[in-house]
Amino acid sequence: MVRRFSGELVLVALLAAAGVYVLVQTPEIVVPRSAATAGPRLFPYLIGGLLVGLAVLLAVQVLRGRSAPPEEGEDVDVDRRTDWRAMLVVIVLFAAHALLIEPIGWPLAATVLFAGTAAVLGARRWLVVLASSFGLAIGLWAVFVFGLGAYLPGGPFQMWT
Amino acid sequence: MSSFDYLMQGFAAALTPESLMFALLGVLLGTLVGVLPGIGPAMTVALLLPITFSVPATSAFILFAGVFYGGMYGGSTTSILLNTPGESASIITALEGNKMAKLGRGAQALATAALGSFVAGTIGTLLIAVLAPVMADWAVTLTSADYFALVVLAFCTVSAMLGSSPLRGVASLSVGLALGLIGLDSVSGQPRFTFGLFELANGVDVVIAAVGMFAVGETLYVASRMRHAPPELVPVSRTWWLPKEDLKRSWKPWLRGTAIGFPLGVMPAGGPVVTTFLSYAVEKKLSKRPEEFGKGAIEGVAGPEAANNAAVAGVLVPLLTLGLPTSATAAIMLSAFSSYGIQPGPLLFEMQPELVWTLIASLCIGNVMLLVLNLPLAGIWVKILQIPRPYLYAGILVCASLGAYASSQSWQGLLVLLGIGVLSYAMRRYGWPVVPAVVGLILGPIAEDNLRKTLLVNQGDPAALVGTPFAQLMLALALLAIVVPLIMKARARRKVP
Repeated sequence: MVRRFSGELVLVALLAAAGVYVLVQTPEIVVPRSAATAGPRLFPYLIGGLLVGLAVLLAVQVLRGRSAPPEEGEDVDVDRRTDWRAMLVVIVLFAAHALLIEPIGWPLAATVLFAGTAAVLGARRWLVVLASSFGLAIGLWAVFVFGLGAYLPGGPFQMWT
Repeated sequence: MSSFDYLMQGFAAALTPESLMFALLGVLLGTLVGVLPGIGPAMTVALLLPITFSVPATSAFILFAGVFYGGMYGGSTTSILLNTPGESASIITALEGNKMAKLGRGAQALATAALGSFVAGTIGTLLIAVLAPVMADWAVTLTSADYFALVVLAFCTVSAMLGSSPLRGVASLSVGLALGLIGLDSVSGQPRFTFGLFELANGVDVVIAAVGMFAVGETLYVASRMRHAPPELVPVSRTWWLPKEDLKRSWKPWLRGTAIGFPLGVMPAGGPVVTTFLSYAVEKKLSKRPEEFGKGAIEGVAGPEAANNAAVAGVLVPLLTLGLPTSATAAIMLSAFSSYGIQPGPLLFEMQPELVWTLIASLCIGNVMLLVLNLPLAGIWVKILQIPRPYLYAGILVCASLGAYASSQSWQGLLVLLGIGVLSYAMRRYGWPVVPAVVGLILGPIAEDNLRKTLLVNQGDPAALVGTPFAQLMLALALLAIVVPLIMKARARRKVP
């Protein structure tokens, strides 16, 4: 009964690792004397145990070849093979966006994120992509900063505020 | 003053131009995000949280509640015309609704969904007005053991009833519970499980977790396996009202849907989604034409659509009277309450009568607005669906960044958001429902607080957890929620060898 390796095992291993981390870290929590009966360690022990227990049960299920169908969605084609390239590019774009917000301001960082994501997902009319990404970014920034009084770094547009 | 007087005062406050504007904005936004895939009411409320800095509490909650109600209306439109539910609470609607649309009865399906939502929403809102004050009085007598049992019930229902694999539902819940452990211990104030990172000392922000789980996770999932064929849209004529024959077939399912949806919304029983399944099953059982089910039975649209709106109204009852959120959207509304320094709970009706009653009155008005917006304007909402997908998901990511940055004020928060998004992608990929994770994160700390309080008061005696009849009842229901699906699955497996 040799089955193809299921990536779900990685997720299960992560669950087990989280459980072990919780169980190992819990004794580090200092218990104040006033909380002798139900201290800050009780709940973490319960959760840690739950995580490890579930990981074992799930590992058994996965190894026996019982898996759940992937989530359906209206823009999702469940039968397609995973497009790792598109996904990784989106992840990198988002991380870059996070790091760029403070140096170049939210509007420009959001323009990069929008244009990049749209291009990866298949938008090809470059002028439309650029115009809509910058327009949306600056518009949202203006609404949130001037309309709602939120703080978002403006970068070169900070002088307008 | 009686509830009625308070309600009339609420209407007076809700009919001011400012309140009306916020209600209209809320229902418009709500319908929009209900129609659009990948972005739902929870995410929208999260995105709008910064307005709590600049507008009074009443206006903010009118807006949020409008989004919550509107999301349910919008979801049904896409279910019927596209066979692709914009919201999980509309999955059932797609079964019959889309069949009706293909038979050329799309207009009637839309009308029965909108009218059913209206009937259920209005009855539900009036029930809030009647029930919530009573419940608040009663809630004062609840002990921490009772609260703990309620939360356990919520855990069991969301994880067992959503998704195809209960074990994966529980696993998802435990992911949320583990994330909820991160941060300061509420009693002794020491940091726990922060990986030594200063940014995590205050825990994982609910907004970041919800936006990451829903918006970022969905976008990554779509990016990984995008459907490139354009969605198949069923054309529909303009609708104004239901023909008499359909009205006759619809009104009973509306009322039954309301009767199922509201109580289940009030109980922490998995939120609106579960109620739609139940309502559908009931209508199928009671129908005089069961053979029509699966081929476009109007009852199968009318019942579930009423049920999900009634459930949304029901969800507001425990949120307002117990401070207990039972859905992701309600949980984010709870964090909005805390940013105003308002503590929802038994005392809310005494401390903030103006806020509560204006909110309830605004819900009634918002419902009327939704009916007006949705009956004749269904065609416009459908046009919005034709936004090319690359732009739509790029926009969703930008909005996610906006909401997360506005609430965390740090780029590190965005990296946490991305991490949760990747986790959510993996969960979707392997059929782990994501809603239990969000519920676990939000309710986990509430569960811990009440567990510890109960044990402290009773010198560590675990029997105290089942010490009250109410707690016993809730825990018994929780047990049922776990056992019944397992039995049903076992029976189904026996039938299909």
